[in-house]
Amino acid sequence: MASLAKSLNREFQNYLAFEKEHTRATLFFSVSPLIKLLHTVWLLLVVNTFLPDPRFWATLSFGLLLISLMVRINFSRLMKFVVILGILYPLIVAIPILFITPGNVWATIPLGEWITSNPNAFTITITNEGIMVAGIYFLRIFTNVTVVAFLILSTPFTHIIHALRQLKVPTVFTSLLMLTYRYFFFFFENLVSIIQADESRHVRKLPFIQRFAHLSNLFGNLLLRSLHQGVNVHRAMLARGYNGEFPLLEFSSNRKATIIYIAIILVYLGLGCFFYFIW
Amino acid sequence: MPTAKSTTNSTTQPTTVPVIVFEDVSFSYHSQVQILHNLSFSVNQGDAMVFLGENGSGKSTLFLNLLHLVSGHSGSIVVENLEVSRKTEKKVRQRVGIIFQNSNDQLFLPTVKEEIAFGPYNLGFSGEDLENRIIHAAKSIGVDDILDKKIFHLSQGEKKRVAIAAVYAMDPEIYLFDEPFANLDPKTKTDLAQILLELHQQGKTILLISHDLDRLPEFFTRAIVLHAGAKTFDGTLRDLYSHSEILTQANLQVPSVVELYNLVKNKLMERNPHLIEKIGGEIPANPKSIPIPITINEFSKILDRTLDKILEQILEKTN
Repeated sequence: MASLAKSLNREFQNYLAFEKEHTRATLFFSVSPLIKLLHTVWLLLVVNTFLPDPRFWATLSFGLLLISLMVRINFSRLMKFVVILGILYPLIVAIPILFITPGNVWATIPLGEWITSNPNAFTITITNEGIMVAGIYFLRIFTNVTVVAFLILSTPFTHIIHALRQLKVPTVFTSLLMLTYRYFFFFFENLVSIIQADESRHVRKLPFIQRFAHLSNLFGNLLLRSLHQGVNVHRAMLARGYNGEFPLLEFSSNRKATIIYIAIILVYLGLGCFFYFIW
Repeated sequence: MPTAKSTTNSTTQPTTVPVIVFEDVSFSYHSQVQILHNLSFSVNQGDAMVFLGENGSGKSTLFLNLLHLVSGHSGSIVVENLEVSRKTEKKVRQRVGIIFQNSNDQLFLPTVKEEIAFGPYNLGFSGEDLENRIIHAAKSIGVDDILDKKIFHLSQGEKKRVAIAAVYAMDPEIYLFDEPFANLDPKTKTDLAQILLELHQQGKTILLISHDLDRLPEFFTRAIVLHAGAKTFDGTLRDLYSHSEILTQANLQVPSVVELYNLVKNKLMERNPHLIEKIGGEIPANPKSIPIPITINEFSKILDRTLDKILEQILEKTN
């Protein structure tokens, strides 16, 4: 348990360390975060609304993965992000879709017979439509996650917040995002310290029920700590005159890099229109 | 805004203008547990004073009341002629900056720069003025090289510095430090003491909570001891060190230098009390009339004078 929490914490910290240390080296770092954000939102709209075509999704996803290699975005980090959120998570949802969607039977699995040796026991079927729906669902999430991961791994979090503020997103929303971002670290640090303290005093294995109750206590403790820390943070904010807003710091983006970025977007947009409407 | 690094070494003398006045202040959480009992004291401008007391004696709660971060006190708290209340809390918080014990509780923004910007931004600074405030505070406190760093990448010492810079950027007249030396390595403690000295030299009023009497900078001369929310001592540190019963009640230990002084005194008295009386050495001969040394420098001077007199006596005898 402690090792799991520790490795989670390490991964999380590594990711955030990466955010600063590696994005500086990428060509995309100095591009205006507002342009990058608008581009991402536009891509998400295209994927989900204007162009719901699996061939386009696949091309876009693999195109972005290729570009990430070219612009020196940490590829292994990107792949971890994409595999966890873009493959494993949608698979959990996509697999049941295979079996519950009605249509032409593609395969039958005599699950009951395997378990009970009774040929009349229940079977599950996979339909052609199920495969199609699950595939589309999977590919759509994969593409969305790739698009978002591409933005996140090429733009520091604070720059994204800055761009959101430029877009006049309500302060309460950006403030919540900033505080949530900071809270993640509190949460992981607290979680690790609680689990380590617990394990350091474990001398015998508890029965299942007791272990369950013990775990509930641990998480209750975590919640209380978070609450306490929340009160302290709020006091610290008030002590420095908090009036509902966070400072908006200027980020000097590179004009040349931004223009090149926009030019690339326009080129592939033009090519896309050409292939889609004319070809 | 004053510059910390550019000030001269001359220490600004405290004035007799009271900037904080507590009069018969009591406080309890939810009207149940009484935390502060009828506290009365005043602090003059430029004062450097320390609050001492065992854990749970109400020191931190006193600070929270001062900034109206908790409400419901009885009695009167006045900060720079402003009665602390819901109406005046914002003005009071512009004048009083607090550095909490746990920097993690104080730093809630992603980067150092944003953290330092938070206070001045709330004071109405923006654009170039805000940028100047950030740079100035960061340079003065020595965090200008980590401005773009994420808070969670900082060491405890760096976090403490950032917390101070974040308050310094608001340029308050009064600084409250809640156990600033806790969980810091010796080098960072020394750096922190230097920052405190620079603030003191600028004429800022500094109130500090500490258990570590060894670490108190020399310019902290006044102490208030709290026990179960009530004031049990208000005077100079030198006086406090001669009241061992108050120190014991507050779970405090006398500083090492005072212990060393007592040790040397006792050893000399054990060896030859008559000789020591005869030579009139400062350490053992008349401890009541000589102020107890509270710094290494003071102790060193007393020891020098005493040893010189002992040597003189020996030389006279041998001649």
